[in-house]
Amino acid sequence: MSAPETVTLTIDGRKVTVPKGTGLVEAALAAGIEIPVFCYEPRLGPPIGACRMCLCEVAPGPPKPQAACTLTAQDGMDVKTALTSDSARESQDATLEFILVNHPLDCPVCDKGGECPLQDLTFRYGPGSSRMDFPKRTFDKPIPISPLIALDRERCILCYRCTRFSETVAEDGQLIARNRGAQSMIATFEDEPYRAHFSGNVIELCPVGALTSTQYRFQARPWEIQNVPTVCGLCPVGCNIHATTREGKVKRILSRNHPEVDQGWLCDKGRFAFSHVRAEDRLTDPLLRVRRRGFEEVSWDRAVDEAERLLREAHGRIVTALSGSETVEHAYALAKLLRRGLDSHVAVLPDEFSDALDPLRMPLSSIADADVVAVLGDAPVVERAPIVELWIKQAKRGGARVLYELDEDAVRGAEHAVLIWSGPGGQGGARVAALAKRLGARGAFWLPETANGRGVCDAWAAAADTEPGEVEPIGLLFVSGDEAAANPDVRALAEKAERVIAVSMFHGLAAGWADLVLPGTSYLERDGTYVNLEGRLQRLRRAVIPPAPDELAWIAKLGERFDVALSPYPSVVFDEVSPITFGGVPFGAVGEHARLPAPAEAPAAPETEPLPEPADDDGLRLVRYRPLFSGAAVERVPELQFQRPLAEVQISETDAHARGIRNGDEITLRSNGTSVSLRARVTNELRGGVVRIADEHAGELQPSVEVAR
Amino acid sequence: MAAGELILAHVEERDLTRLDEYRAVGGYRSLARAREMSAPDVVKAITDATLRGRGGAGFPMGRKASLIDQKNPRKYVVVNADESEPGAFKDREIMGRNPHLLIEGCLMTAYAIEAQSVFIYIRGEYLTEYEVLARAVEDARAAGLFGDVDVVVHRGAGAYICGEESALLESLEGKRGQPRPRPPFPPVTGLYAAPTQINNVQTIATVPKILELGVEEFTKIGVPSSPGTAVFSLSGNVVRPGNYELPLGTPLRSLIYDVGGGVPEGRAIKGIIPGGSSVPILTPDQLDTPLDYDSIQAAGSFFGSAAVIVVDDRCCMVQLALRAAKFYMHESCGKCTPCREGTRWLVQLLTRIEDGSAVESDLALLESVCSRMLGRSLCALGDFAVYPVSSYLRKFRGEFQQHVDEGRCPYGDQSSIVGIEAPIDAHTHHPTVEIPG
Repeated sequence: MSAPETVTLTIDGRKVTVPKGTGLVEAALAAGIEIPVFCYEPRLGPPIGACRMCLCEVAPGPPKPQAACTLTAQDGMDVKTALTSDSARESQDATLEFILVNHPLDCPVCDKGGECPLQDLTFRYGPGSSRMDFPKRTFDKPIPISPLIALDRERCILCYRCTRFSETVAEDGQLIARNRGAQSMIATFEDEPYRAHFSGNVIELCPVGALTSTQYRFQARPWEIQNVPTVCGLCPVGCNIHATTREGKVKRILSRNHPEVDQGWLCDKGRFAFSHVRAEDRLTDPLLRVRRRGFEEVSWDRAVDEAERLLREAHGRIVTALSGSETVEHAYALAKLLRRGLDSHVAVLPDEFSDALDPLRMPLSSIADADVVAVLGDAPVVERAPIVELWIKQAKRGGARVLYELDEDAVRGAEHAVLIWSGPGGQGGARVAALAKRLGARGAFWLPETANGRGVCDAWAAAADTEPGEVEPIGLLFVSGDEAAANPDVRALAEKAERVIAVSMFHGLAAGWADLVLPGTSYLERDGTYVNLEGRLQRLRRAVIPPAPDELAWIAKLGERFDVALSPYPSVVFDEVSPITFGGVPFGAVGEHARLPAPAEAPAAPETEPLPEPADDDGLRLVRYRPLFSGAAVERVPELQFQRPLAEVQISETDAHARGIRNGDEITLRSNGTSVSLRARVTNELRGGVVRIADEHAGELQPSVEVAR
Repeated sequence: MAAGELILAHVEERDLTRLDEYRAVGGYRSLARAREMSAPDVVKAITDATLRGRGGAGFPMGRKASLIDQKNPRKYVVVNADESEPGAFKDREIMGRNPHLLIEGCLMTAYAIEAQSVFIYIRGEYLTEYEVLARAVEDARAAGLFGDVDVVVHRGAGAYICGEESALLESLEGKRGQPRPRPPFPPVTGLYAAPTQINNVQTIATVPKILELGVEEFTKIGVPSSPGTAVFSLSGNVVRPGNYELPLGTPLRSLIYDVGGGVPEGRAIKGIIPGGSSVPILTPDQLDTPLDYDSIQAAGSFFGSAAVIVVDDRCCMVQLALRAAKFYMHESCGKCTPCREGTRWLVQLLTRIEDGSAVESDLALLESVCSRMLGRSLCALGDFAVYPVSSYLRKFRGEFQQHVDEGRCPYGDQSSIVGIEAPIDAHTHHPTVEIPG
């Protein structure tokens, strides 16, 4: 590869050499010079040059000031910013004055105050007083554009970041600008609530306090908060986040741009579901079943005694059900306790994982460079690993073909093909890895269902080598976490088990069928590591103290009872598991922006089954999926309820056309004497022969359904 | 037929909206002639004829065409028929009375740049002209004149900004009509990101005349730097307002007095706006300015859309400035800061001056707001909003000062502009109208 072409230009008298194609704003930064901007945001597509904050004198070029954000650095260019040019300085003053002409300047009561680009740039560059003494433009305010977002149109400086995000990044097209001129306003299309998977990003994009979070409104001021850099634990992407805390409580979640993982975008679940940590039914004390029906709160000492008793009485006939939301350290400690201390090796693992994908390991950002992306597995990507959907959209905008049905020739013919398996039957990634190998695809991803399923499986395996035997009857079912507790298969095992210990954050989930319930903790309350779907080991940092001892604390205590040496400190536990699973990387080296390990050597290709065929008769194959906005955390966030899936069925254009079904039609699905009526959503993001419905709307439908208007 | 008319020739004697009538006066022969030439030769003819854009900027059409990447298989011709400049009504007349001339020009332009698609973006309010033009397009299509080219007539939805070419392209693509940052310019990245030749109605309608007369004859009309004719929309305080096609370089005095019959009741002229409401005003001492691009620019204004508005001595210049400022506030698209916020502020300041409640410093502030807007907007319309205000203020400073000193408008309701309803006053239900006070 040849060295990248560079250009050398002068900015305020400083010579700077940057790669060809670098924008002037970035080139100036490279020279240590700030060109202030409001509307410019490279993640939102081509620059629009609207706010005029970046006006500079640029030669060669027309005599009038130029918007630096719309220009790229050219060899020999001479740029003068407000630092050295009177004209640019006057332009900057003018722009700030015009922006503030109708801005209410209500900083003292504005949530953005203290972390507001408009406030900062006004302080840095702006005039100290205003020459505007007329009544300012007013609007009704605040307008709830959804239960999550409040809009203050008077503060809006019309940088169009939010509408550009909606139009060109999330492509939901719901945010629009209405009216013209000084009366222009941001609105949702037809004043419908902004109901979309990624809506919250517009709050962070807003350079003023026009779009604010209803959860965070009036909750804190920037000088009394702390932003804890950690990782979201609600899906396998593992978006990097800042948890904003005030007085020991999480107040909001912000993105923390990891360019390879999330590009600074978050889904609304990751951004808004954090308040489940303070749910009313949060368990803070252990619960012990004392009579046939009924629990009582017991002390932790008593709980550990009871747990020890239950574990001993099972005589090794223990089944462990894992959630996939445990940290690596937590899962390893539990595995070591149960496998080494109690010789109990049977586990219900949260996800299936194959190491066949390791040689194809690539950052998620590589999807954006693809020319062909094949999405296989039939479950909607956005519901499983939301950010992956944004990467696919970005690839598509860049000209990639996105296939929802495997076209082997297209994949073979591609320069840079990426395969993504979203849905059941992926064999832990083995199937998509085999396909990628056979078709010569550059990268392959498998979207598991749980946030750290991979780390949990690895940790479980790292604790012992013993093959699990048969456990019959089950003496004790150890249910680790709420995802396991909500899993119907685990509930079925619980029916058969003599005793059940459950770890759960909430009253509602485990109480009623467990003998001992131990309070669980959230990803926001833990220190430790997660492994995301790329295979990237990332660091969780405790943002807030949990209302009960965390899992490592009581597992370590139980370890003492069974002569298993276990530290209550994640760093110590990690250093024990790291040499076995993560090549010995020290805890402290995981970093705030974790790196992806290099692709592994290719292991022997596993045998895989052929792709499942859609039903071949008149019937269609039904794929039920778990919606993003579901689960224990989401259920406990009132503001998120409007995001729950609509009662609709997704059907491919081909199948819809063949049945005379149009978008929005009410259609009936039948199987084995049961039927469900739903609204049709015709999509070209689904292959023919398959329909899909969110779990909560699929009723008792069987895997093969008849569909008619 | 008045002598020397090209675009509007024969429109008085014949119904040129009919294809047979248009053919009877030699219509579509230039197209046939062009199709016998090579495409680059047609471009060369346009270039040699120094055909300058009649929409406002006066950019040579041939140079635009030469910027188009000929190898790109996807290219477009777009006709800017969104004539919205206050005072301009020439395109309306051309489309309403000689639609086939425009269509012939479109087909020739498409042939010249080897494009297969022509879009005519017509101002939404021009319903009659749209119907005439749409029928003419159908007639021409039925007569097999299109060859492999298709012509689509698209109606705008009433936004002045869509007369700005990049906003027009956005609107044509189905997006909100707002200008794009440039470069890239339309010949490089235009409609649907493809090379696009975009020109005003009259510019395109002149193309057939170049081949009809031949480049040599054509360039004999007008002045060397601006050959050909222009249809001047004469309005304001004149005896005979209307559209007059004259050779470029005709003196302003001749248009107003010889053609337009002068000012009613022999009153004195106070000012002349030579290119539509957005250009700086000229004063009576400049009446001998020849009406061509370079001469008007030398006089401190712009040729613009050749809409000449005559202002007599009964008109209050503050009222006139306020009228223009309100229009540009109403039509500012809201994309860039200086235009969006500045136009509203100008209206507030001018309202206060006209009310007589302004203080001394308000005139300086008005001047400063104008100068801070000028040259800093995303598109030229930000400047258009400034020119009337800043030029009236500069040339009639005393009158503005009188408003401040006397605490009232010296003309009051006796001003000749009173009673002439502006669109912004007629559309009071429109949500963008918030008269700031």
